[in-house]
Amino acid sequence: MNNYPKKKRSLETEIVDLFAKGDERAIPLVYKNYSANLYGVITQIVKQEELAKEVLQDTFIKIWKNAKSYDQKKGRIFTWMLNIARRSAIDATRTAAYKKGHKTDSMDAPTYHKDKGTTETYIEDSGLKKIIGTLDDKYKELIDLIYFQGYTHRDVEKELEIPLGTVKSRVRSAIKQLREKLSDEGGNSNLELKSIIAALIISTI
Amino acid sequence: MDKTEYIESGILEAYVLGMLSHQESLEVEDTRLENPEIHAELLVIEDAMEVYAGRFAKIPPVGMQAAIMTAIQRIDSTPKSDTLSQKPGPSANAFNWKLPFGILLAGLLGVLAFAFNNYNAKVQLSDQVEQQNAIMVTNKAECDKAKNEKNALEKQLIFLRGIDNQTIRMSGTDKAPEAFATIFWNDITKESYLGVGSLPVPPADKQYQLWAIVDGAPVDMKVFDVSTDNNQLHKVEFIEKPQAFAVTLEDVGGSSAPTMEEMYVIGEVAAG
Repeated sequence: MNNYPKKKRSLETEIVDLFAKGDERAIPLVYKNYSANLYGVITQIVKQEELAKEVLQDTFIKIWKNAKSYDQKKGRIFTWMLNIARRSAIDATRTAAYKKGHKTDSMDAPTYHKDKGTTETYIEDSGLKKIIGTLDDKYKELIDLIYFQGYTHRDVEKELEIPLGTVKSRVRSAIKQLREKLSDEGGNSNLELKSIIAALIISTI
Repeated sequence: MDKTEYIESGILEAYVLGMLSHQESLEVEDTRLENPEIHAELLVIEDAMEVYAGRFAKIPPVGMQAAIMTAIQRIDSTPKSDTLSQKPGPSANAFNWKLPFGILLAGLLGVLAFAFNNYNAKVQLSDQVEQQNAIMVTNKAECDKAKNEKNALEKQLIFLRGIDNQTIRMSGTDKAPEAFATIFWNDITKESYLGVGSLPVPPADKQYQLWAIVDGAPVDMKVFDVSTDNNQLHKVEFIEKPQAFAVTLEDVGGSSAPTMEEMYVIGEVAAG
């Protein structure tokens, strides 16, 4: 999981080239390869399907409008698009219409499946399993909700019936502990562990 | 801050997520260039982000791709797409292909035209900025020129108001009976000005030259141009004890001695 396939790199290069030339063939290529990931992240933030569709469309328009300003030196193209998608989604949640609609009309409101399994069963990497296993249960629970089930802090607040402030300080503490585990491993880049850290950081926004 | 501390501060994740201010992002980018470890760490974080996103991947509802293409096309309205849309699409095996391909093509054309529009708007905007800058420069130059003129006129006015001025009017000769010019001569401030009242416009290869007569001999007081605005006085050399002033028409640059046949105006200084 910590190698980045050559196929992906050449796909990125192809998209970047098309972007640079303003070649419209970039769009279906981006759609085919990234729309599911982008849409997934969008629906994590915007929970109404109609709005999520709008945000995805908006994201693509922004991607195309800014295609030429994408700078490969500053990061991967997926990260760039992901941030556009996230920003658009966050903006959408700030509109009055969203706030009003969110209360009554949310699609997949997250439900915590305690019986569906725990963090450990989601993780295939045994090293990571060991690391997570050493954490206090309350952090395992948090990682389970935030990383594996895509909860926001507010979702966690409701689900676990603990104050938002406590959720936030627990997340910070979880991040700190995971980092310590990571550096105990001698800086060995465990991608999934990092991905959990990143997810927790995202959730703090 | 050492490397580990820097990495653990969370700033790199925040950078990857586009959560930093512009200034902070630039700092991370600088650090990245200097430090291969930071660079490597950033790549790992980016991979981690992709893993994270991949976990929630969700195929968008059917029809989204076409909707996106149409939306992009709707934004645009450049006629450029008309000429392009006449190109036939590839003749793929009919039904299954035609509709999506048509929508796709239309969308792509839209995208293209949109980008073109956008580019044009940018070009236009930068043109406008350039134009405004040029106008500003011109305005500034005009303003400076006006200021200089005002200063010069003020000086002349102060001079003219002086009670010690002697005014010598030069009248037209037979060559140009209507012509006249005036010398303002001040023995106290040792200044003199030439006011061109009316002189015929000289041919291109000729210039008027002012002379003073001192002790019966002509003294060169330099050539001058007849400008369209005769309000301006020409500051001229101050000559002691002039008996008369005269203007002759000479070759461009002036002569060492006046051409008497080409004298246009002359005026004697009243005996002091």
